[in-house]
Amino acid sequence: MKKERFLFLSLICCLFLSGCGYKDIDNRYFVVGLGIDIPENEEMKYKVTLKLAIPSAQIKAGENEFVLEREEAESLAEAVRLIKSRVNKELDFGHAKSILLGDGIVKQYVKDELEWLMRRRDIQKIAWIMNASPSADEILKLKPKSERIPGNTLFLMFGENGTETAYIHPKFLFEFYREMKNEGVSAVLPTVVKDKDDELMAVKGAVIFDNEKESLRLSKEEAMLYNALCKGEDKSAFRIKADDYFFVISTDTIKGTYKINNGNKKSPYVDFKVNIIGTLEESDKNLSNEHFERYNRLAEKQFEDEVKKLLEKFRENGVDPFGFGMKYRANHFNNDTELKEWEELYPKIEFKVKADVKIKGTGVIE
Amino acid sequence: MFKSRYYYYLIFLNMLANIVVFVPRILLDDRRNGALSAMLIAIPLGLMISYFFTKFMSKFPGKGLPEVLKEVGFPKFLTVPLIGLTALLWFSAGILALLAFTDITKRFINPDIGVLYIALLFLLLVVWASKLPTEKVLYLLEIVLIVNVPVIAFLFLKAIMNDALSWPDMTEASTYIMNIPSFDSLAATTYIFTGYINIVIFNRVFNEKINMRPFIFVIFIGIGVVLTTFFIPIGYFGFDGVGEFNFPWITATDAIRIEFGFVERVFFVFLLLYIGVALINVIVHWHVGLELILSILPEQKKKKKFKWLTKDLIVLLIIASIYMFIQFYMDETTVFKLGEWWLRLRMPNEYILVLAIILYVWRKRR
Amino acid sequence: MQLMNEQIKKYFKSKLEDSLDVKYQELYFLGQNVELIYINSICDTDKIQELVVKPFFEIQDIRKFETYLKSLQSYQEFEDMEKALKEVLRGGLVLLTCKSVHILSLKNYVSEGVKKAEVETTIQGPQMALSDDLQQNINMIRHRYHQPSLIVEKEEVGSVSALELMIVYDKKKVDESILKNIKDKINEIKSSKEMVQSAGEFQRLLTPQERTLFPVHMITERVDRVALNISQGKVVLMIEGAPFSLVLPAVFYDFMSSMEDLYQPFWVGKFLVSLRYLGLFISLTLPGAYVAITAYNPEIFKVQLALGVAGSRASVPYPAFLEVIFMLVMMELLTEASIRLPKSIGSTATTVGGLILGQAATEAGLVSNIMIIIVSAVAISNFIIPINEMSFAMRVVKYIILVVSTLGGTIGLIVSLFALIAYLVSLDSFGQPYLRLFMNEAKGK
Repeated sequence: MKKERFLFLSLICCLFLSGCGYKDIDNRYFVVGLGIDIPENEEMKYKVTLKLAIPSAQIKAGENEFVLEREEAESLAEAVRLIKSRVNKELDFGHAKSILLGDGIVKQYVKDELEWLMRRRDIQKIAWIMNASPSADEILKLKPKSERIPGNTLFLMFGENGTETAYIHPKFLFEFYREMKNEGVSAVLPTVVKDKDDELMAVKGAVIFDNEKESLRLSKEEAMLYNALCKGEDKSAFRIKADDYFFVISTDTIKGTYKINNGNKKSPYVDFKVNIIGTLEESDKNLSNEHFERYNRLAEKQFEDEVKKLLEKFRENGVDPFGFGMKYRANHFNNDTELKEWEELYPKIEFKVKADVKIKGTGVIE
Repeated sequence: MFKSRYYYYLIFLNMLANIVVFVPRILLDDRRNGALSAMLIAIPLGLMISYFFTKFMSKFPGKGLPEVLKEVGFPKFLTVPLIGLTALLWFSAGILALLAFTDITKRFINPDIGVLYIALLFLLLVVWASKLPTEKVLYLLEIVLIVNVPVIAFLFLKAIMNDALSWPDMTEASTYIMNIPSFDSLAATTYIFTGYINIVIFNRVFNEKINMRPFIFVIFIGIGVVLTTFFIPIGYFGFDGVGEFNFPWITATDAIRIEFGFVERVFFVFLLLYIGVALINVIVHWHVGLELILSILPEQKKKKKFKWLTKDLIVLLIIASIYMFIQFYMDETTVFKLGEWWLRLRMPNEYILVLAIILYVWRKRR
Repeated sequence: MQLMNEQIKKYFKSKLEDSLDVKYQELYFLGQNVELIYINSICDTDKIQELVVKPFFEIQDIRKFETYLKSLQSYQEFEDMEKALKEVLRGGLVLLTCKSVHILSLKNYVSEGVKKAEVETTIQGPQMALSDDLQQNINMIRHRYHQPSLIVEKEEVGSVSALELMIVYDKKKVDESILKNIKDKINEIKSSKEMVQSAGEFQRLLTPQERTLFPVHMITERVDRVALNISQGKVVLMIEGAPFSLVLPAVFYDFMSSMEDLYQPFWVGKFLVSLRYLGLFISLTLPGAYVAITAYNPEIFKVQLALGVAGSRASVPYPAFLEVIFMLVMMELLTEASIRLPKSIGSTATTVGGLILGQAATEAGLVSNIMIIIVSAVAISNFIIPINEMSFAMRVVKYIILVVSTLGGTIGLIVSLFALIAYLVSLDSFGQPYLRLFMNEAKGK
């Protein structure tokens, strides 16, 4: 019995002996924003900007203290190590929930950066990844007045706990990884820009990747249409122009569905259906309830044109953010040749867009 | 007194514990080479073997395999290697699971902590708990399952209901159904259904015939479990990108986010709960192995010195030191290779053993 | 016969020495005489007067007087001198006539009578608690449990204190093997110790291991709980002079249930029980979880919370686990102090400790605000466990979990919780598994 106890005790002692990773929370610097840019120094490969939150016991508006650490290096890991050697606390990437890729980086191949981000266990796979324009540094530097916790603005904008709008389509790191890796779908990143007012940031437009680098930039409106169609971001509003007046539909639900029809090899086409249910929100003319049908028709026509234009733009530029290619692959069993088939098919594919708009009401007043 | 529900716990435990480590990686590596078709064969195969073996064992209520073999007069020179081999299979299953979860702990939860430390922590618990009486192991199993499974099930559901899950990728994966089934995937998938082997010992406490009616649920749950193992990581990381992960399933849970939960990044909750499940799985494995070995070892002589060093402790310490040896002298690739080879060898071995016993008894009865 | 009387007298004189309260009384009347031997401090002297002295003079005939004595309820046959001595030590009276020896048990037991339950209180349930008088206790139990199969047996414990022990059970419902087990145990330990004075002490003797943490017998003061447990086939032991009874066997759930659960509407009862398990969980894991999460895996928190905790810890010079241990020990001291202090000063302790210390410690930067919240949450949720023994045990377990989680982080937390469950499962209470799910179902079968 005594021997057993002795053995047990010595085991426990072993536990004490081995080093442990004990590090108190106040000895950690939380990285709340991770930015990657191209460096000013030509010899280096990356410029890494880390936004480190300074914790405070009482949280008040405007007291969002943070430190920005910048470092240029040949590799991301080196840059982070260099920053580590400068700060007095342990860097903790566990809360690095926003990852910003500067314009310069997006124009290059972003494969290695993505691998690094995915490889690190402490970087959340549900971090939001975005394109920062003109550079990640510029965006991370901002200090919005309403912010209580450093970096919280981006978290709220993307987290959909705060503002909800169709201009923003948050992209998680793992989604971006999937889109980058998959053949048959082009990756899309939302773009964050510095607003005119120096202290604010805004999400405007998007970047579409092809072959792991930037291929096409979407304007604000195009991005909204894409978000609405592809992801069903439903808090969107569309301005419909008639002959001498206009009205705005705010959508309750919007859904884009499509079908690839290649039965006829010579003229393949994509059947694209858009279903919209919405309410009238604004107009410069008194609109009457009886003419809803007419407004529906008007809106449908405009949607059909706009969607078709967008789809054709994608096709002209050889990008496929909707993932038609993936869908094609999913529907065909000839797994070895399907991709090639699709690549030949896509440039000559036609789009047949059919919109179906239903205006449900006119809001609170008639 | 012992309800047959404990039997289903054992089967269910084995399903749950094995769908996160070796099995999904093997299946996903084979995703272009006949994983799906192998799964389709493995499901009925695994279910049938477990059904018949359970039926066979429940003809001998209250008796474990060693007692059954004695009763039917199985040749003695075959009994020892047969039981020894089964015990060895089960011990190594425990060792592999423990290796995998030590690795996971080190990699995802505490990268700064020493492996020795984690290994000792696990070993202390597992060695002590596998010496518990057979019925107590079942009580422990029941508590652990009932506490953990609802939360794990909720997270599974959350994973499936996630908007970010890409359905085209999963459909693309299913278009590979016509491939020639791969043996590795077949072996891996049948492993999910191999929990029935546990009754070679636990049958000792099942005094009544096991009620086979709920087995129909095992079929449904089994199919569901196999499909989620395979499809969920594909849905998150894309058909093309999923192959690059060490632990695809575990990384996939990092893609689940609960906005309004107490913990936003549920990955940790999932991992911690899963470690509980893995530990009880190892305990069950080692308990079965230990009881089998004890049944073929000669009676212990009474000794004066080292009274605490009982036979069962010696067996467990040998097994534990094998685990420690592998842990420290082999790198993770070797461990994974080991796991793959083990899975390959296990299936034919297990099935030959089971069929040999059933056939022998059947012929004897005739 | 006369000779025997002399012998007895001599025996008593030699054994009882010359104590002040030992009485040798002789009654003479019309040439007949009887002698009384008793200890007047533990006898009911009024009763002696009423039942023995007065009738002796009234009946006059010694033979008639003897038959009268035999008809008395407290009459006992004389067997041997040792037994007679034992009886006298318990408040009996030995009556020597010229021909025979009689024993009457006329004890006067000083007790506080039946009091209200104070340790395990309920709001609307029965309010009576056990008293230190065994007769009264049996009375109360019998009045709550009207069954012919209710059996009361008598034993004795402690070689010097020789206190009476009552074994109460329902013959129809009790598990014979458990009963036999208990009786064997009692016989084994009967005289292993000189002084046994309380149910808790007796319980420690009953447990096979020397060092235990978790109670495997329940100590209760509630009569309704005793009656309920008897109806569940359990065995109840009561020791003279202690207002608590010992219920065997007792499993984990018994310690987590209050009688109140049965007196409330179904869902309220269920809610209370789940609240208790939540409390147990919080009080066990919160300190460990705090250390494990802040020092190893702060990514489990939301970012807002992580920054808040980091901010509040900024002024604290010590690592989190020292901070936790410091505050927990302070809290334990406070609890102990308020239990042991007289009620009139008790409130001072809580004021000084709770208000002043808590406030000052944070302002001095010794502990963080969040720590204070955690410690009070732990304390409150610990008090929610209805049976004190379990509550004390869990207070200790908390530290083990804290140490393992400090060393191993969140993994340590999970492993230690797992080990706790496994340990509880491995325990036995007189052949009954201590912890398993769906216990009632198995019993019903």
